[in-house]
Amino acid sequence: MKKELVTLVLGTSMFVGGHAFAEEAETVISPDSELYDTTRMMEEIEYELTEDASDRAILQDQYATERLEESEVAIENGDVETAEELLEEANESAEQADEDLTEASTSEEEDAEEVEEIEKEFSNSIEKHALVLEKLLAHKQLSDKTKFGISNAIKQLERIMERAEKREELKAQYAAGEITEEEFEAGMKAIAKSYKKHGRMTEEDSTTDEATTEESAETTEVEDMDTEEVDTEEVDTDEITEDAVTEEDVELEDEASTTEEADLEDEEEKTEAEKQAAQAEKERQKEAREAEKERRQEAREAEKQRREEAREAEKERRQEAREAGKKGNSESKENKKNRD
Amino acid sequence: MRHLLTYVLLLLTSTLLAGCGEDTQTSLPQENRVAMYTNESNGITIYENSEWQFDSENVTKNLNIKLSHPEKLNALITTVTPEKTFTMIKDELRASTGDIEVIEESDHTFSFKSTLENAVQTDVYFKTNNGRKHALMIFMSPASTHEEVTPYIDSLLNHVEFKNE
Repeated sequence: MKKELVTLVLGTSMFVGGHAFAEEAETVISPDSELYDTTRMMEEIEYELTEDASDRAILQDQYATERLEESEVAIENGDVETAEELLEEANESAEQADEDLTEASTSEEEDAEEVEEIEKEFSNSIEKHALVLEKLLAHKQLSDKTKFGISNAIKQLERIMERAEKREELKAQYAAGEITEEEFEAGMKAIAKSYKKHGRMTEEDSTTDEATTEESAETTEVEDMDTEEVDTEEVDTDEITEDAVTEEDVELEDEASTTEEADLEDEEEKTEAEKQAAQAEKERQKEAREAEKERRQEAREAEKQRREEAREAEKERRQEAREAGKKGNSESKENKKNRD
Repeated sequence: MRHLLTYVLLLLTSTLLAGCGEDTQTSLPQENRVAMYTNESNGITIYENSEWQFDSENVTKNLNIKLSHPEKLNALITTVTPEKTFTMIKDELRASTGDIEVIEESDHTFSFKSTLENAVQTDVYFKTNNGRKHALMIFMSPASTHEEVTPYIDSLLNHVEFKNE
């Protein structure tokens, strides 16, 4: 149990906003836990069931914080691969929170003051995430690839902060009457577009980075093979010197060690089989994890598509309602004129 | 007097037997049922009922079966190793869900909701399965519509069979 519930000392807090998260979670579920995937599926369902854009932003920020905490646990457990995946997912959640917040800012259904409060808390949260990432960057166990990934994640968070500032500026301009509603909406749209552009760029960056890392890994492998060859040559020389020992001695030693060797071989075979089974299980779990990741990605994209369509439909409906209102007004004016 | 004692003993025995069997298998209706999902290795069968749909099956460290209902209601049926107690499970769920408001808690059920304005309510039912893997039935719906979807939750609870070895 102790293994699965790890008390955190990161000090990252969930953002509170108007919804006030009364207490901070003191523990985090370990990615090694049997129930980990279940809790991730519960998160997905919770997000799907949440319609309100600002609530969705709060949830995604909460998920980003949780992924960061879990990646810290994975690093402590020596599972760097999982830590990398979790860091990536933390960033995806932070980006999604940013997108949901942009949607909440432009939505007529959302309470402007509430959204503003959430935005402030979101900015605080992003700063805290950046601090945690910088702390992780100092971890000695991490590979260069992971460190590069963390640096990218920090850059991405900086971009989110920039977007938040731009949103603030735009809002201030709109409130001061410097820009029209259409200009405000167009500006917000441009910010949302910049999110998508940066998202694509980050994906490309990480692909290039992976290719570079793989190349350097191959080079290391070749170097390792060369070293092995040298080692083999040294062993051969040793064997020739050993041949100088009398054959009788060798035969006696052989007889004495035959039984031991057989036992050892059996044990080695067993260990080898166990190793293979463990490796196969590891690979199966990895494949299942990857399939699950793909499924999550697809579900996220489908959900995004659905929300985008709903937004467009809502916008069209509003536009039609506005036009109908204008038409109604002009007609009533004309009628009034005619009556007069 | 002897008759009365026999009667009391019989009553006590039947109460005890009913109590033991309570969590090992959900009560199933008598009508002809059509299975929409079967997992023999885990002894789970889900029968068709009130518009519940099978969505997905995911096997990593444990088995997770996802189901959905058109009335904004989702269910997860999850296996858990027998070593895990419901208290341990509740602790893990609390750790993973951030801030929650607990609605109801018993030896075999756990209900909570998020602290968001439009909260989502989660109801967890713990099903013990005599030596085999335990199972959890998790239901999630918007808290605002929880009362309306309760009959569908009850329906699924009565249409899932956990077989004993």
